[in-house]
Amino acid sequence: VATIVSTSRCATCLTCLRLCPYGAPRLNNQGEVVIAEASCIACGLCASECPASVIEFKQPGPDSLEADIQQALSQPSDEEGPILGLLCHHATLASLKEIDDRQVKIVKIPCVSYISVNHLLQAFELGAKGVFVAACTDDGCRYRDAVYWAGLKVNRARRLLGQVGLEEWRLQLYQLTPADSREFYKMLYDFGDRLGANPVKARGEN
Amino acid sequence: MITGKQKALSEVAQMATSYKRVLVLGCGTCTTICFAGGQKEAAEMASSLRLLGQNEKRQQVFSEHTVRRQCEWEYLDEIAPLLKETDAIVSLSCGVGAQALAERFPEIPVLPGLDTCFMGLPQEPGVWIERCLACGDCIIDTTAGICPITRCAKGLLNGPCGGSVDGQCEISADIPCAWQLIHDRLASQGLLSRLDELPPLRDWSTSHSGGPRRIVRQDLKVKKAP
Repeated sequence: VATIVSTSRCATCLTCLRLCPYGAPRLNNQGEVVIAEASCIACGLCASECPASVIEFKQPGPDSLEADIQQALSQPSDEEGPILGLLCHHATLASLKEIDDRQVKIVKIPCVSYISVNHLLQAFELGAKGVFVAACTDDGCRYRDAVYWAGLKVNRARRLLGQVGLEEWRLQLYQLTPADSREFYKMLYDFGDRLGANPVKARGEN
Repeated sequence: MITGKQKALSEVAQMATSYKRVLVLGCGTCTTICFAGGQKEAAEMASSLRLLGQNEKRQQVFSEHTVRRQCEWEYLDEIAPLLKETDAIVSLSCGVGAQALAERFPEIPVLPGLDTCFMGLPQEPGVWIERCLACGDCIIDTTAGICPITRCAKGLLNGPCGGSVDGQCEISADIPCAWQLIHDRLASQGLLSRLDELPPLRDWSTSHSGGPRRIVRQDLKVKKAP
């Protein structure tokens, strides 16, 4: 795991250094930001907040999320456009097999920290009629501050949606208890109902 | 750093309304680090303008690009190839960069996507505060490292005034009285007697009242062929 900073493009805004809950980014003697591997747990927060996008993961990280969203939304879907769910791996243990994949596209991410405002706007541009971000509960999250930052990003994206004439409620942040599958499906039903979609296969066939 | 704030999307959309192909141009320096006009904000604005265009059924094309600094000719030149397919540019740099852009490419209308605010610093993440007005004649050696021209609402050189209450300026409970700060810091440094000294009359010709200023350094001029 762990991340690196591409120093040639770094604007040295020091955002990563200030927001990292683990204190992994530090300044070296040249005044450049370096990320101490031993402290970094690759939660993705710095990479999604970096204004110059210069923090790179050693394994697939937040920088591949844009392509994953594109891929998911390029699959055949309902005419009116699908729902996109950005789902933290750890947020639910519910089986996703029941989900109608013409109605709902799920992109799994290791943590909601991976998300940036642009990902959320991109989803609407690519035809999603609704987007939800499913995070862990505050207590259940294995990373620090992740849900807090996800909330800020969702709020900013919602404000922008309002400014472009889309209803803010089309973007939702849910916090889930992993062991409670009913909670996940209730969330999906309610959101689907509001958007006019049948999120679950069994329901769609009825 | 120079700080700025993005204009409301509706204002930007209105400015751009008569142009078919619009380039949103970010700046990789000051407005990147104040989160107003870097590559992410350029992408956000272009994306928002596209969504707005879809919603209002406009036939416009919005693209985005970010250069390292819009206030350097060389960095601006890299966008020349993009301009063949651009009818207007929304600049997300400060007013310096936006004007440089307009000067370098005078055939293309430049629209300001943000308002340049002030020279300041991030007091904490998400909060920027003004610290310097670029008056051209720094005196903070006499004022405990605190600029009264910028930080006193009246720009007084002999404060505090009667509007200083409990260390706060009368214009806002959030703004400390600069002269109280100066007094307190000089006292803590044992230099309070500095305030007894009469400063000479100030020459304001170094400030903006003399028109646009410039610095000329003969020792740095590159010799060019005639």
